[in-house]
Formats: sequence, structure tokens, C-alpha cells
Amino acid sequence: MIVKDTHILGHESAGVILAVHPSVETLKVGDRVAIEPNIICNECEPCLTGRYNGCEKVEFLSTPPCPGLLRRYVNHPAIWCHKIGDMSFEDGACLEPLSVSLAAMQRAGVRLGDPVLICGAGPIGLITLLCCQAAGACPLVITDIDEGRLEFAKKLCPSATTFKVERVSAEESAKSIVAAFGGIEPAIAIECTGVESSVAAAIWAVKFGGKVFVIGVGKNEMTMPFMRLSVREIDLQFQYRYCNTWPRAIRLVQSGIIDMKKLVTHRFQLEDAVKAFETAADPKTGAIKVQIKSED
Amino acid sequence: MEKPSKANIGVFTNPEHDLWVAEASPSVENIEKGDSLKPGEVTIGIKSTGICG
Repeated sequence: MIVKDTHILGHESAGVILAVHPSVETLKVGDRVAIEPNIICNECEPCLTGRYNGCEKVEFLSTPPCPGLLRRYVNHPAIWCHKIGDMSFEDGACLEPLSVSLAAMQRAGVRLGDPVLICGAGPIGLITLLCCQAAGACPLVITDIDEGRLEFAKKLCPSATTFKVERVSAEESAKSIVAAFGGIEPAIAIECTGVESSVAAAIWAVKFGGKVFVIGVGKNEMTMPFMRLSVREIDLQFQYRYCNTWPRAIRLVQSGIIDMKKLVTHRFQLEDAVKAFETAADPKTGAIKVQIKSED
Repeated sequence: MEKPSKANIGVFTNPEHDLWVAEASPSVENIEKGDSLKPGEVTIGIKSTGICG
């Protein structure tokens, strides 16, 4: 996954069909689609058992050497283009990060009334917060080191409690997190940062028999509170991308159950994409989701 | 029906993390001819793309 050559970025896109190969019967010119940015082998066990995110021969657009979607025009298999009806292209592009959160929701098993801790108020943490709210999980606590992001989270989901992470031990941080829950230990922590100290705090915070579900990616090797996991029978679970989430994501956005619009804070034209990346990378801009548009 | 008119451009990076916008494939000419499509493929005019992270 390391960039070793010139490479095109982008894997969160939606657009309109401009041309179809004569063999394609499911789509026609003019259809509005969101693009699932993978092409699988359809031969290995993960593919044949429906967990195609485990395909080791997958071509994932934007992961080297497969060029990404940040182009004006792209050719892609019709089977990985999902019709979005009259959904906005911005919402269509947001189906990809929503898919990440939905994959976590399904495998973490969040249920009605579950107290859930969400670690990290970046785009994936915020979308996961929306999903947990929609799923009826409560109470919800979301953490971050950035006050601005926590303010954004509070506006997005007023019923959630925000928690600013301080430079204390993971065990101390967990005590404060549980206090933010009103003394309730979360049943599930969904970790969206991949930062070692945050994973550790989540492990210290969840209840006996709870679960820490890690979406975030981080260092190759990490230290974690092994014996806390052991004596509290805590399940530690991980995620790699997603599978079979697009139809579910489309239903949730079309029905209004998940509203992604507030997450898009900045917009740029494709010609100004470098500025878009600079904005996304600068914490001072307050950017959450930056979208790059192409008007033909 | 919308037809491709502007040149295809894309956002590139490299191992030095440089970023730039430059010409990308498929070209408008190839899209119009239809000769860049493999069986099962479609050409999409990308309208909106989110930056990951």
C-alpha cells in the first residue's frame, strides 16, 4: 500500500454514467451512481463466501498500483456502480465512509440501548456517531483531542456527550470517560483513531464482557493492556474496509435516517484539488469532509 | 444526455507526497470512440469525490 510511483488518489466518488460497454445491461447512460472502489477476483474463499474485503487479489482504487477516482472520467465495472436515484452526488460520495461505519456497526453488534464509546471525532468517528444514534444506542460518548471537532460532534448529535482526551494514562483517561457516561461502563467502544493510547483507554473503559471494535489504522505493532482484556473477557475486534454495505448505505441516506450533509464543510473544483488537500490537512480550517467537484 | 467535453484530468501524488493535477486516462477521444471500455465496464463522469480522513 506504499506509493512507489506516480499515483492517482481518490476512492469516495459518485457521478453519472457517460458510456456503457455493449455487454452491460444493468446501467444506462445518464444513470446516477456511487462507485464502490474495488474490483475483486471472484475466485478466492473470501470472495466466494461474501466477505470480499478479504480478497488478496483485490484492485482497490487509490491503493497502489491501482489508480484512484480523483479524475473527471473513470472506467469501472458496472457491477461496482450502485444506482443512487436522485440522491446528491455529495451524498453519493459519502456512501464510502458511511460504508466503513456500517461495516463496524454490523460486526460490532451495536444494539438498542447499548452504551457506546466512540473514540475520535474525525469523519469516520462522526459518521459512526450518527449510526449509533440511529441504531438507538445510548448513552453515547465521543472523544477527541481537538475541542473544535468535539464542538462539531455536539452540534451534529446534541444527545451525545463529548470528552476531551488529556495527556494522562490510559487507565486514568478511562476513569474519566466512564464518569462522562454518568458512571456507566460502555458495552462497546468503537475506536476510530488507531492511536495506541486511545485503543488502550477504550480497553480500560469497557465493561466486563464488553467489546473494543477498532476501525482506525495505526502502527504495525502496539502495546495494549493484555491482562485487562483477559480478566475482563473483553473482545478486541478489527475491520478491514467493508463488504456488501452500499445497498444498506443508500437506503439509510435515501430514507433520511442518516444525514451526511452536515459533514461536508468545504468544497473545491477538481482544478483546485491541491488547495482541497491543503485545507483537509490543516486542523485550523475546521475541515471535516472536503469534497472535490467536477462540473463538465 | 451529458457528453464528455473537458479534458480528463486527475489528482496525482508520488513517494515524496507531492500533489498535482495533470492529464489522466481515459481521454475524451477514447470515451467518445468507446474503445477504452472492457466487457462489463462503464464510463463514469465523476461529479463529487471526498477526501479520505
